[in-house]
Amino acid sequence: MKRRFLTVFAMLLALCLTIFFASELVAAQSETVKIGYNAPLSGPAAAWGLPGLEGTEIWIEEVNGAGGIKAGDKSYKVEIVKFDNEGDGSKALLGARKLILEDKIVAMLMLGGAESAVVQPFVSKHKIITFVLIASDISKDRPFLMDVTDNFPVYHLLHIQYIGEAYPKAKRAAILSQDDEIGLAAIAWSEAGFESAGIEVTYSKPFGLETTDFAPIVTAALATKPDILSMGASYPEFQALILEQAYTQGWKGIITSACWDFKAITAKVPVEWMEGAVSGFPDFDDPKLTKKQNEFYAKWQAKYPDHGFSEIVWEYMGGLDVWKFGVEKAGSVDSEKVFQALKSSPTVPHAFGPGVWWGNEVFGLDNLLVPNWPITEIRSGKPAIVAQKSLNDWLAEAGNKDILFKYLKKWKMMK
Amino acid sequence: MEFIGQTILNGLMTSSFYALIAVGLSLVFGVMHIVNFAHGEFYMVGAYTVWVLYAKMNWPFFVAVAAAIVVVGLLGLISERLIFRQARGNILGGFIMSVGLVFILQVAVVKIWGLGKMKPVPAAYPQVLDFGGISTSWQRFIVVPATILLLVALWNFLERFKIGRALRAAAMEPEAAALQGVSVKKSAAIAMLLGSAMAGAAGSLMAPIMSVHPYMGHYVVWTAFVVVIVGGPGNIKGTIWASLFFGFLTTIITTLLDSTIANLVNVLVMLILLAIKPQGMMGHAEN
Repeated sequence: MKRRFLTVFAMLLALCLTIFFASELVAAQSETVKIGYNAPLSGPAAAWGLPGLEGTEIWIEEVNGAGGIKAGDKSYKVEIVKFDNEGDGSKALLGARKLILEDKIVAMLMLGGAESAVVQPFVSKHKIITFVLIASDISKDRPFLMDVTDNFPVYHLLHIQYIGEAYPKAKRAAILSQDDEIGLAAIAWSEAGFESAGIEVTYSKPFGLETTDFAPIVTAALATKPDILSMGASYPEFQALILEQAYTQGWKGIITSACWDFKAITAKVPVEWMEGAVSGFPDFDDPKLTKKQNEFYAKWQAKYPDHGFSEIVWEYMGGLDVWKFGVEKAGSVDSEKVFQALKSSPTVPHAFGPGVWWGNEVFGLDNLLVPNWPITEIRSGKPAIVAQKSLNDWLAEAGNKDILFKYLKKWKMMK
Repeated sequence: MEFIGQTILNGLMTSSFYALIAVGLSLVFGVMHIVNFAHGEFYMVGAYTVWVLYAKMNWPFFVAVAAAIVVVGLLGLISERLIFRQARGNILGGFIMSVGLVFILQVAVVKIWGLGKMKPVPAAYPQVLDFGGISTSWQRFIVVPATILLLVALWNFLERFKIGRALRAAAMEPEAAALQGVSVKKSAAIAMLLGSAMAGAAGSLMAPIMSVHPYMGHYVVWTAFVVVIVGGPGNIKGTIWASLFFGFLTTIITTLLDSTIANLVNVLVMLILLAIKPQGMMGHAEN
């Protein structure tokens, strides 16, 4: 009887210990690290926030499916915690507080622009690494803010350099962009690009954010007889309305923009009218990109068959790629250590190839990751890579730095 | 020359839009004496109706527009019965109720269709209409004849039909109209039905031209109020003249300077006119 009791007791003890250690093991395996996604998911800039969730979702599935992210001898599952800041600074701050204090995020993905000015004092205090899509947000008083994917507004210089070379007869340009941090940055860098390319800027008056009717604005811009119409960094919804007006008012010429929401635009104007439009973002099915990027596009298309592809789909995800690189290099998910690991790497992998840190001359910090940038033209209704340009080459050309500084000072953007 | 011609055409189209949105508001104010801030949301519901029926369900554009007019007219009628009737004679109460209705309609639309990106409504008539170098799209231009048609229909209704004349009487002298057997309740309901239907027409016709989102009414209702105040609340003719005036003023200032300054000037003109002539450019309905 006693022996039987001891046997049962030993078996129960073994069972309890197994359950205990197994649960410990599961707990260790499923340790989760959270990344904040504090971006506009509604409002006029929603097209610069919402599609990013599609890319990050695929990234999370892939990374977590492969066992998570490795930091030293630990593995972490990654979770995205999203917050719709509607592109509004005060709401973005509310989001940052919630994400940092309640959700305990270790890094944050943001669009940037007006949001950064409000959010960054709080985020910097908590030393949370923040990846934005607006390079001109980089500033000495925002030490943990980086732009590791989108080179806005720097790439305007390269788009325009390409237009100058490919279309030497185009000599007059009108810039249409909204009156906010993002829009003004686009105007300043575009003006520098146009002067360097020997193209006269005939119109560059920023329009108010409350504008609903673009007919008079486009009439005023077209009255200056431009060969080139630059959308600067007009919000996607504005772009569609501006281009519709340019089309219906009978204008034809070269269109350029920081980026497109091509589906929204071609709902308003014929796709053939957009042929030849210059930007810097290929769709990821472009044969000139890597096999991995082409595979990502196929996966994305299968998952979101009715959606239009834009650079936003991969850019926030690109921030996650760079963060993962930093975590693996640092052997830790600690925000400060990841930041140091990234900054100590002379080159960091970017979607368009190896990137180097730049920005000190104009932003006060080298927190912008700059690769060689592709130039795209709309061909048969899709952006296709037609050239590659280097910021360093542009800056090395005689007089270009002076031109750039002149326009950054004119628009009060030198830091 | 082309620049001037294009600006005139732009001004004409803006004026038409202002007239379409402001006349309904003026009618409601004149008959019901209610400052209806939800008029902008009625406009928004009109645009959403076209987005759902035309852009998503592929109904013919003008059928969707007609449906939007009916839907928003009925929405106005229900609002009058359930909300505004309780505030008759109480301008402040009516105003607060209308602000409440603004939030209810915005939240309802967000709950049903979400926020997200603005709703794309493709142009039904994207062809370019060229007047010898001055051009626009047919989609944009049809707002002008549609406005004229709707205003003429409204005018005829108010002038030639007994019920329309009763409505005008209720706007001018509600007590005398009541003594003559005009039902104030019925007049208010008809005014709300017509006023809201006009907002629905404006929203549905503008949906392919403007951005469709839950807060789009907010941007237009202020301009509509400026137009109504200057034209004389309840004064349809005055509202049409004020629409023309502000349509051209906004277009010219936006073309030459900027849209923010245009909005500022509009409000400034309204304040100056109010200081000089508090009853509006052409007086209240009773004049």
